[in-house]
Amino acid sequence: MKKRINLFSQRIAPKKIVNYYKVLKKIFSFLIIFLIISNLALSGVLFILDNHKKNINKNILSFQSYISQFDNLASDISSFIYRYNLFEGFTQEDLNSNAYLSYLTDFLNNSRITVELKNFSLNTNKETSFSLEFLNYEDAILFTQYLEKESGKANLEFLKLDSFSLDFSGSDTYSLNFSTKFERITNDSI
Amino acid sequence: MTQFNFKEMFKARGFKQLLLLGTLNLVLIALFSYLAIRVYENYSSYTVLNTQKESLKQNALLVKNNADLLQDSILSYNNTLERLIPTEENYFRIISAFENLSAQTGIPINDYSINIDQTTDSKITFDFSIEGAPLAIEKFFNTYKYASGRYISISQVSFSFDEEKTTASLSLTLYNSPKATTQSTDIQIVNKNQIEKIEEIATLL
Repeated sequence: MKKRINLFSQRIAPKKIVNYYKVLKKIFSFLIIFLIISNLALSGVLFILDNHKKNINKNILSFQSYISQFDNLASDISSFIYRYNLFEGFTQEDLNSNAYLSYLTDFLNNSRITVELKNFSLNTNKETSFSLEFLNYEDAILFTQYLEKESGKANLEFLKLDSFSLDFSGSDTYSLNFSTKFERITNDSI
Repeated sequence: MTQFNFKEMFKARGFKQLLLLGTLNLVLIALFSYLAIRVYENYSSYTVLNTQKESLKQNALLVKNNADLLQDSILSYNNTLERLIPTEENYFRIISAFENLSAQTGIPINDYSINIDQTTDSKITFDFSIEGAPLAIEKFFNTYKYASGRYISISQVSFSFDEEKTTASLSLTLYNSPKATTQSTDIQIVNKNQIEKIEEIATLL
């Protein structure tokens, strides 16, 4: 067999290998020290975490046992809240008609015109109709002027004069029938 | 090109020490990996447990507050609510409520009819008319909500005013509350406003 010589190849001399080994030893030694310190630190952290976990588990058990002492109370409270919320919902369904009637009578009284409220009706949509009676024509006219001036400030979405009537039987009376829709009046009373 | 001669590498001085150090390194790296994973897992479970503990601590505080506030009185508040919106509805309860309302307000309540359109499982609406002196009717409308011994609302009303007499046609609703089928597992809080309101209502029943 023909032997070939590779002129570019270099053999590593044993001395060079020993030098490489020295460098590698230094690196390995440094790594060992680093890893020992790291492992000790990690073991410490693990030990501390384990202790914390044990403490937390103890706390959790004691909290759970404290809370379970009040299971009956919690059930009563749950029942209270369920019913209270239902009740609160039901109270929203009330018309609160007194507030709207008072609002209207105050509005009429502020006119300082002799006027009598004859009818008043209110439904859940706050749609209202009411009839007013005047003893003379002048008061009726003055009142319509008062309405034109003040109704914008009132708590009403609109105000419509539905009809106007005269009653000549006995004393003359003038009736005005209105329809309107109140804006919601909040009432804090129970 | 550098050519390695493994035989010479193995035989070279310091190889065995290097091998030992390398092996030790590998062992330490394996240990480091194991410990790092354990720390990570423990830290994760520690975080979860800590959150759970904080949540339980808050719950325990809420329970303590609830106990301080309600332990002696919750049953009476529940009784008040049971009176306002009873769990079960029946004809006799309704008659009794109307009799009480009539007795408390002085306004006779005789003829009434069920408003089917507005009646549901949890409420019954009645249509009827009342009449009386203006002050008596005013008293009725100031006290109707609780005067019967249970909660009543009015959903529609129509007044007719005379000097001597006021007439009112109204739709009046009585409520009932079926028991809750599921109970919340969360700690629930009753606030002071709710308690004050129930205590105030209890005085009106």
